[in-house]
Order: sequence, then C-alpha cells, then structure tokens
Amino acid sequence: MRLRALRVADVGGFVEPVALEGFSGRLDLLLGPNETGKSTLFRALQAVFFQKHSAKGKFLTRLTPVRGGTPLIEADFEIGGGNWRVTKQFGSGKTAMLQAVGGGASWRNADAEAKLQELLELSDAAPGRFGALWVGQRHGLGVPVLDVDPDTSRARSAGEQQALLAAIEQEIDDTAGGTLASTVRDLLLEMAKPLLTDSIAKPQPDGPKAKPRRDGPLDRALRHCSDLEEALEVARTRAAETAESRLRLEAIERELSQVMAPDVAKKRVDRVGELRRKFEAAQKAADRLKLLTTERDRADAVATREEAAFQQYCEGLETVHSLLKRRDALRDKRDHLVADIKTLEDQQVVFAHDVDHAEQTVVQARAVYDAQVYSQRCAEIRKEQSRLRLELDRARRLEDDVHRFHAVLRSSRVTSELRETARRAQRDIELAENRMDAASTWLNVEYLPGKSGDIAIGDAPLSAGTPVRITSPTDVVIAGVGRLMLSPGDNNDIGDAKAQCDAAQRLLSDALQAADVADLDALEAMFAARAEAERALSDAVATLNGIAPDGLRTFEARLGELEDMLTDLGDGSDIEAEILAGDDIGSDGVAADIDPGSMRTSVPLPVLEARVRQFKLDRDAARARLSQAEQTFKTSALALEHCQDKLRDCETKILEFEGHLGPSDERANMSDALRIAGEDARLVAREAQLAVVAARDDVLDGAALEALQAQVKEAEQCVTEAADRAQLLKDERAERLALIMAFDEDGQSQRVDQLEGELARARREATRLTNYAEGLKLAIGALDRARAQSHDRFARPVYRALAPFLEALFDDAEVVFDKDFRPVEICRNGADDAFDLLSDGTQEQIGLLVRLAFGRVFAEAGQSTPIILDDPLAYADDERLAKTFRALEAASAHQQIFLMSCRQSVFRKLGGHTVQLDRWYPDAGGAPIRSSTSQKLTA
Amino acid sequence: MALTFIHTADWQIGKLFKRFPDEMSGRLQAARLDAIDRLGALARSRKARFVLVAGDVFDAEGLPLKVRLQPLKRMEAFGDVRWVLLPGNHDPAAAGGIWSKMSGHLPLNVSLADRAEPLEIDDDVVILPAPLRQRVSSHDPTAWMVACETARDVYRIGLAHGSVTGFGHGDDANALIDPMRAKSAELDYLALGDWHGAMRIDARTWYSGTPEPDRFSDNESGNALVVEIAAPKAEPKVETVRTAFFTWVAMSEALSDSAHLDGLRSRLDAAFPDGLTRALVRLDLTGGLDLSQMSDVRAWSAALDAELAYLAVRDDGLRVRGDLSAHPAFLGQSELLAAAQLLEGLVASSDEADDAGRSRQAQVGLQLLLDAVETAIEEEAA
Repeated sequence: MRLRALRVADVGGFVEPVALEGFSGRLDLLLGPNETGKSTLFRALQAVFFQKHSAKGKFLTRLTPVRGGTPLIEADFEIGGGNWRVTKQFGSGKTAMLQAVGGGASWRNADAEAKLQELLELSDAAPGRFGALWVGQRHGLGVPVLDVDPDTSRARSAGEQQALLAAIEQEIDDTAGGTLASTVRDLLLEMAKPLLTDSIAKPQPDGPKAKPRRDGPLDRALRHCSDLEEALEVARTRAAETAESRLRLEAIERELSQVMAPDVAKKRVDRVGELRRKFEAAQKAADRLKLLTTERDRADAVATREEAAFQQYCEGLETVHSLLKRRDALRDKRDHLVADIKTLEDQQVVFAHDVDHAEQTVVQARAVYDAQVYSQRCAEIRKEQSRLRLELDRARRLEDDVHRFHAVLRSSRVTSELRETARRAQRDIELAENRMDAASTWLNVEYLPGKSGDIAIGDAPLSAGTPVRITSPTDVVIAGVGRLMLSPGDNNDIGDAKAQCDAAQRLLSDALQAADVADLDALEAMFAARAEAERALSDAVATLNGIAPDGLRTFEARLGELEDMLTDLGDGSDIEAEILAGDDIGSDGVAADIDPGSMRTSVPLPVLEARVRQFKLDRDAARARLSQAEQTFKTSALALEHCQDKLRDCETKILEFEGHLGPSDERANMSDALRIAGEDARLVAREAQLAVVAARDDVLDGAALEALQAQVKEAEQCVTEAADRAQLLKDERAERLALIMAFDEDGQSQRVDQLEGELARARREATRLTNYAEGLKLAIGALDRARAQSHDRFARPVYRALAPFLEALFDDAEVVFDKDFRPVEICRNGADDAFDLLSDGTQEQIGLLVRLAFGRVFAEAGQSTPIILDDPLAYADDERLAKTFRALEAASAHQQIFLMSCRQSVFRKLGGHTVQLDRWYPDAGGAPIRSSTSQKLTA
Repeated sequence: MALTFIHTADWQIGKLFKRFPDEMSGRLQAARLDAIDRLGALARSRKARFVLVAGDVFDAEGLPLKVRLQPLKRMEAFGDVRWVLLPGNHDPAAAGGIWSKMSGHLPLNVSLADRAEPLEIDDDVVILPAPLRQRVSSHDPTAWMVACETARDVYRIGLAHGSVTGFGHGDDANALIDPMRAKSAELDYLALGDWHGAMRIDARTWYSGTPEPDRFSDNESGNALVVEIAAPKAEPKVETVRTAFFTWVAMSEALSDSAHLDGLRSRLDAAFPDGLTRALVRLDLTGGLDLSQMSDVRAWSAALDAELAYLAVRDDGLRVRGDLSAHPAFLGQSELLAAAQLLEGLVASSDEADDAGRSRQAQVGLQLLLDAVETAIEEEAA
C-alpha cells in the first residue's frame, strides 16, 4: 500500500479544508513547525483507515474541532495495483465511501467499510500490521510492543502480532512444515469444541486449561455418572434395607417355627397344667396340715391343762405337807429364839457392867496420869521461878552498871571529835615547826672549853649543841666579845609556817581547855578512860539485853504468870479425889502406885500414859461387846418377830390348802382321778401330733411352695410370652413381607443391578470422553509447546530484515526478540545489553529499525505497508541521525515511509519528497463528500 | 429299570448383564430362557424321566412377575417332561422369597423341592433335596440325607446347591457340602449346583454348570449332564451335552507387529468354525506398535466387532512405539513431529509413574494428533 493524498476538513485544528497531495510513495516528508497539525493529520490517517464512520464517543470528540463540526477525511491510496479513494465523514453526517479511482466501482457506508478492510487485509477494523508501523508522536521512543496500547500499556487485540506472524507464515511453513500444523491445530480445536470450553484455543505454558463445555457430551456424561451414582446409592440403600428385611424375615420364620412348634407349645401348656396341679395339691396338703395342727394344739392344750390340774393337786398335797413341816420348824425356831433372847439379855447386863468397870478404870488411870503430870508441872514452874529471880537480880545489877557508866560518860568532856581536833592540831604544829625548821636560820653554839654560857640571846645563854632558830632579828650576845646582830632575812615560808603553827597551837589550846586538861597526854588519858567506860557500858547493855531483851518488867511479868500458874494448878485435891474414887475398882486399881501423901507416884509418866491407852482399849472392847450383844439381841428379836409372822402365814396357808384339797381321807382318790384324766388327754394329744407329722410329709415348706408358685407363674408367663412373641413376630413378618413385596413389585430388586450396569457403561463413556478430551488437550498443548519451541526459527525473517538496518547503525550488532517479537537484548561486539538499560536515543533508534524490519517483512509477504512516523528521532546525535537517515532511505526503496517532523532543517537532510499542506476546495453544495481534483503539490 | 435324567443348574433367570449394552444384555437374557427349551428337547430326545435343576433357577428374589413366569411357561411347554426345581442361594426358599410367590403358578409337571424331605418320583426314584432357605448358610444342607431311610431298591438321588468343602469358593464359601456325601448317604447320584462349569467330583457327584455361559471363564460352562444309571447302586454314566447358544471367549495377544492380528484372527476362526455371530470375545491386547499399526489395530477391531455378537478390546496395555519421525504424516513437519514426540514422552513418563490414566490420555492424544495430521494432509491434497 502506498499513500497518495490526504485531505481533511473540520478535523482538530483544521477548520478550513486542507490537503496533502502528491505523495511519492517512497520517502515522503511533512516538515513544519510545531502546531502545524502533523499529529492531527496522523490521527486523521488512523481514523479514515481504521475507524468506522459511525464511530463516536471519545474518538469523535478528539477528532472534532473545538467549535464543533463534522470531521471529513479523505485519502487516496494505491494497493494491489489499484488506486482507491476512501472518504469518511464522522459525526452527525456520518458517511463512508470507497471508490476505485479512475472510474471504477464505489462502495458506501458499511459496504465501503467492509471493502476497505478487505483491501487492507484487516479483520474487525483492527490496525494489524499498520499498528506496528504507524507510530504517533512520543510513541516512537519505545520499541514496538505488539498488541499493546501505547497510550495505556494495556494488552489489546490489535492483531499486530497476528499480522506479523501471517507475514512470516512462509518462514513458519518452511521451519515447521508449512501450515499443516495450524491446520492440525484447527482440526483438533474443532474436535475439542463440542467437548471443551473455548479456552482450549488459548495457548498456555502448561497446556490448555479448558473445562468440559456445559451441556457438551463430556459434561453430560460426567453429570450422568453423578446422577447414576446418586440413584445407585439410593437404590443400594433401599436394597440393603430389603435385604436386611429378608434376613430378618428368615430369622422371624425360624423363631416363629420354634415358638409356634406344636410340640413345644404343648409342652409349655402341659407344664403349666402339671405345675398347677402340683401347686393345688401342695396347697391342700398345707391346709390339712394346718387343720391337724390346730387340732393337735387343742388336744395338747387339753392334755396340758389336765396334767396341770393333776400336777397342781399333787403340788397342793406336797405343799400342805411341806407347810406342816415348815410350821413345825418355825415353831422350833421361835422357841429357840425366845431362849436366845433371854440369854442375850443376861449377857447384855454382864457386858454393861464390864463397860462401866472399864470406864472407871480409865478415869482412874487418867487421874493418876494427871496427878503425875500435875506434880511435874508444879516442879517445873517453881524451878523456872528460881531461875527467873536469879536472872532478875543479875539484870538489876547490870542496870546499875549502865547507869554508872552513863554517869561517867556524862562527866567526861573529852569527845572523840575533841580528841581528834587536838591530835590534828598537834600534827599541824609539828608540821609547821618542821617547815620553820627547814626554812629558818639556825644558830648552833659550840663553846670553847670554859666558855660555856658566854653566848646568850638576850639574857638567855645558849647551850652548846642546842641549835637555835633565828626567826627574827636577834641580838646574840657573846659575852665578852660583843653582840651579834642576826637577821633571818625575809622568808615567807617561815612566816606562814609560824602562823600555821600558831593557829594550831591555838586550836590545841582550845581543845585542851575544852577537855579541861593540861596537855595532850592528859587528854589522851581522859579519852582512854572514856573509851573504857563506853566499852563497859556496851558490854553491860549487851548482857542486859541478852538477859532481858524486853526489859526487866518482862521478868517480873513472867514471874507473875508462873505464880498464877501455880495458883491455877491448885493444890491437887481434885486429882486426889479422883484417884481415891477408884479404890473400889479392885485390887488391880491404878491408885496402887500413888503416894497418898504427896499424890505422887513412882511410875514413870510414859508408863502411865501406856496404861491409860490400854485401859481405853479395854473399855472400847467392852463397849463393842456390849454393842454386839445389843445388836444380836435386836437381831434375835427381829428374827423372833419374823418367825412368828411366818408361822402365822404358814398356819394360814395350811388352812387354806387343806380347804382346797378336801378332806384328807379323800385326797388319794382325788389325786388318782386327776392323774388318769391327764394321761388320757395326753394320749389324745399324741395321736393328734402323729397325724400332724404324717400330714407334714405331704406338705411343701414355704420356700418350696413359693418356688412352685413361681414355677407356675413362670410357666404361665412362658405361654403368654410365647403367644405375645408369636404375635409380635407375625406382625413384624407382615410388615417385612409388605416391605419386600412392595420392593419386588416396584422391580427394585433389579434396580441396583440395572443402575450398576448403567453406571458402569456411563463411566466407561465418561472415561472414554474424558480420555478423548484430555487427549485433545494434551495434543493441542503439545502442538503449542512445539510451536513455542520453534519460535526462534519463526523469527528468522525479522532477524534477516533487521540485519541491514542494524548494520547501518551499529557494528557487529544483533537484536534478540522474545516470543512476542519484543526486543529484549542487543548484542554488540560480543557484549549483551538488556534493551531496557539502553539510552533513550538508542532505544528509539533500534525501535525505528525494528519497525523498518517489520515493514520489510510485511513487504516481502506482499503486504507492503507505509511506515508513518510522527516526529521521530528526537534524541539522535548527528552521526546516528545520519546513519538512521541512510537506513530510512534504504528502507524507502521497498516501501513508503511518511515522516512528519518539526525539525525542518535537520530532516531536510534526509532528502526524499516533501509534501505540503494546501488548501482543499471541496465542491460547493451537494453532498458533503465530493470528488476532488488533485491539486498539484509543491515539492 | 434303568434311570435316565437330565442334570442342570444355575439358570439364574433374570440375571442382568449389566456390563453389556442394553441390546446385548437382552440377547443374553433371552438366551438363558431359550436354554430351557434346549434342555426340554434334550430330555425328550434322551427319554429322560425328569430334569433336575440343582438350584438358582432365578437370579434374584425380587424379580418381576413376568420374569418369574417366563421359565415356568417354557417348562410347561414340555408337559411330558418332569422338572424338579431346587431353591438355591440366589432364590432361597425363604419366607417372602421368590418361591413363596410362585406356589399358584407352578405347572403340574414342575415340582418345587423346597423341603428337606424325600420326594418320590414314580415308585423307584426318591429325590433327596437339600433346598437352601436363606442366602447365607453355614451348615451342610445335605447332612440330613445320611439319616434318611428309603425303600430298598430305589434310586436315591441327592439334589443340592452349594460348594463342596474346600472346593471352588474358598473357606468362606456358602453352604459347604461334604464331597463324600454321595457315599455317606448311599446316594446313587448327587446332583450339585452353584459352580457354573461342568465338574466331576467323583463318579456319583457332579456339578452340571449353567446351560448358558454368563462370563468369560474357561470353566466348561454351557452344558447339561445326561445321567444314566442302570440300576440302583450301579455307577452312573454321565454325558456332558452342549446346550449353550453363545460362546464366551477371552483371548490375549501381545502385539509387536500388526501382522500378529492375522494369527489372532486365525485362532478366532478356529475357535468358532460355525462362524462368529454367536461369539462373545474379550481381547486383551498388549505390546507395542507404531502409529500406523495402531491404526491397523483399530480398523481390524472395528471389522471384527461387526462380525461378533460382542467384542471387548482392552488395549490399555498396548503402547505406541517406533520412530515417529519415520511416520509419513510427519515427514517435513517438524512442529507436528515435536508435538507427537512430546505426547510419546508423556505416555512413557506416565507409564513410569504408574499413572495409567494419564498414559492412556496421552496415547489418545497422540492418536488424535495423528488422525488430525492425516485428515489435514487429505484436505490439503484435496
């Protein structure tokens, strides 16, 4: 195809009709500044060739001028050796017309659209190969990405790749065996179509993903299997239930035959009858036994009563006999008791006397003892009185001494303080003198023989060898010689010592004076005498306190008390009287040891005391004997009384029994009669007992009877249960039979077999179809995989077409395409570069070369297609630009290249044929579409 | 007086041949009914005094009335032949069972031996039947025959259905029968049913098998026994007589060349000298063939199927082998050849992975591919 002219009116910015006429059909250029309308013309070309005239929406909006209008586009082109004109008006006056230029046929509207597609070898108005070769502004930067919208980068069904594949079909045929593979694939798809969904046609890396087509044979077969499986499950369940019923029915029959077997039923009934008879017989025997037992008990009672009467009579006789014997015995006992009581009374008298005697003996012995005690007590008191008087005298003397010593002490003026003061003063004097001696000037005189006494102080001659203290200026006169004026000097110590000495002397003097003594020795002597008096006083006081700690008056009081005690003891006449009162006790009286004159005895007091205790013991023994005798007496008296009571009772009973027994002469007969009656009654009772024993053999005991009764019930229950069970089984049999009959009548017994057969066949069919469908999928998938593996070989025409263009720009370069013919890598001088990492300029240049190659491929396939480039090569440097120009020029030798650019001066170097925008003068009036005459284009 | 009778069993009327297509199933069912006619004719021709059917007259208990009546009508048609029927495990004499519904329908010449008690035929024959009263039974139903006393000089013929101990069905078999029963019960003959092929247990104990085969088993089925006993206690003379209409044959062939099919066909022709129209054949094909030979096999099978009453070909074990590139369809068709080789590889890998289903599908795919290639070539040529 070659473009010859383009005319537009009311398109984009072209309000006035314009035209590009006179395309050379090889390298055509439209150069002009920006906003010339190049891109509008590019869109107009796309619209007139690929858009239906009825298109609207966004497309129409973009095409229509801002002020509105009905876009009109007309293009002249050459294709297949013929010249054509297509004219389309969009919008409200939508119309399409295709004319064969030169007076040929024409088509309008839809026919025109269809015819145009046919001419362009397009399908569904998709741009196909044109999409790969017509590059709008800004889109030339990228490499051609087939079937991808360059504006949105989204996949689209533009048919570009398909067009390219179609173009290289021959190559594919050469590589893969011609178009046979495609035909085979189509055949396989045709075979798969009824079975599988349409996705079977879509190649997938892992094979087609198609599923069974809804309501297709495979889908129906699978669903049929599923339906049959469900039906079979239901039938099997019902068949199983029926089979279970059949088994149950067999069991019921077996059980029924057992339950209802006549011999077994008869046995059950016979057993009930037999057990019942046994039970009734046992009950009768029990009743008879009860009756006999009652009779036996009655006879036994009579016999017992008779025997008791006899026994009672005999006992009455024996009782009377024994009562008589007892009466006699009681009488004897009573007599003995009377005698005993008399003896006891006598004995009590004796014992009472013994007691009195013992009492007196004790009193007497006590009196002797008391006398002895009196005597000793009086002696002791008097002895104490003597001792106390001596002590009193001594105390009184000591009291006098105390008074005397007190007087001495009161008369002495020397006190220990005074003595101490004097002694301290004396020590102070001595100390002061010593100090004065040490500090004083001493004058020691030694006389020459014969001169003794010649030296004197004052008038007093100095003795030889007697040092004299010089304490004050002293004139020493040496007889015959003169006077020595001695001065002791100014010595404070001497003064102080002297003053101290003087003070001490005064103190001593005062002390002495107070003591009324001449000197210290006298004071010491006086103080010693005082000390002696104090010591004697202390001793006397201590002694006195020892003797009479409470004073002398206590002595006197004690003496008074002793005197009172003597007075209280009396003179002993009472004791004497007591002793004397015991004279009549006997020769062994205790007074034998008493001296009547002194009322003293020689017997020691402990002995007397022992005697008293012995006498008391004797007395207590006598008392005990008396008490015992009295007790015995009382007992005997009571026994006598009791005996008499018994005797009376006995005699009363005797009278009573004798009244019952009757006259004594008839008692023997009476007794015999009673005995015989008892023996007769006992005989009757024994016979009754024998009857009971005999009857007991026929009677079952309670447990056995209960067991028998239980057996009867059990047997009866067996019969009832058998009947119930039989009825139950019959009912169930009827139910089961009805169920089975219903099952059989419905023909269900073969339903499972039928369904199993159907299912087996359906499964075989489903398996067959599945295998068929899967086999198709596998075959198609295998074909697709084989085709993919052949891709590199398919791309050979593209590589071949690209090679010269690539060589024009790069040395030793090769482009690698992916399966979608997208350049992914470029190899230059042995080095591989990812296409995406190349510079924008290089990518644009290679993209342009690839398009040239695609164009060459299409041209070689007989589908020469113009390459239209809107403002390309924006980033090419001069050298690359020149080389690209050469490539474009070379490419235009085989196909038309229409290039639009705003870079006029640069692209003029490209050469080629430049077309210019001219005014288009559509025919005035009439239809908006008119034949236009080609205007001469300026070159 | 000598005694001649027919021994048959296991008619299993009403059996559904569910694995077969409906049409074939119907034919097989009809053939079983027709076998009764052949038995009746045999009885007549051999002047048999009766026909003993040793159990399983019917296949199931709940058969429709029509199916139940059909064999009776066939037997009734042979009014001069006395038929003695024994309930077996498929049609036990159970309450509510099939025989309980048949009491009013039995023809006069048909006796149902549904009780374990002597059944006198004429004056000199006593049948000792061992009917089964339930499908599953663990006791020997013939045990009672030992104690059963009969008149002297009469034929004691036992009639039973079940497995001889340790014979046929393994230890868990139903209704085990003492194989020495004929001797222990002093039977002149023990007619057994249950085993579908004719089988001699001892001189007096036989399985007759079913008169019309029902499976691909090489077990001498499709016969009836003609029993002749010269006198009581005499050893019976047993003759096996063919009664089957259809013949069932299972064959297997390992193919390495389509020429083997010729040999297979020869064997088939030899097996069925009267033609193949009454033959049911199951072919198990294994081995390996190239694609063109595989096509030959399919064509051969299709042709054979048209001749036979029924043909089942199991060719899962048959593999495509050989050099695909040598196949004329792939000459110059590298892409198609590559696809075929991919499928061939998938067949092999699936076999190795023991994935028979996938292997089968791949094989189908390969065959479809080949078919499509050949079709495409034909279209291009056209």
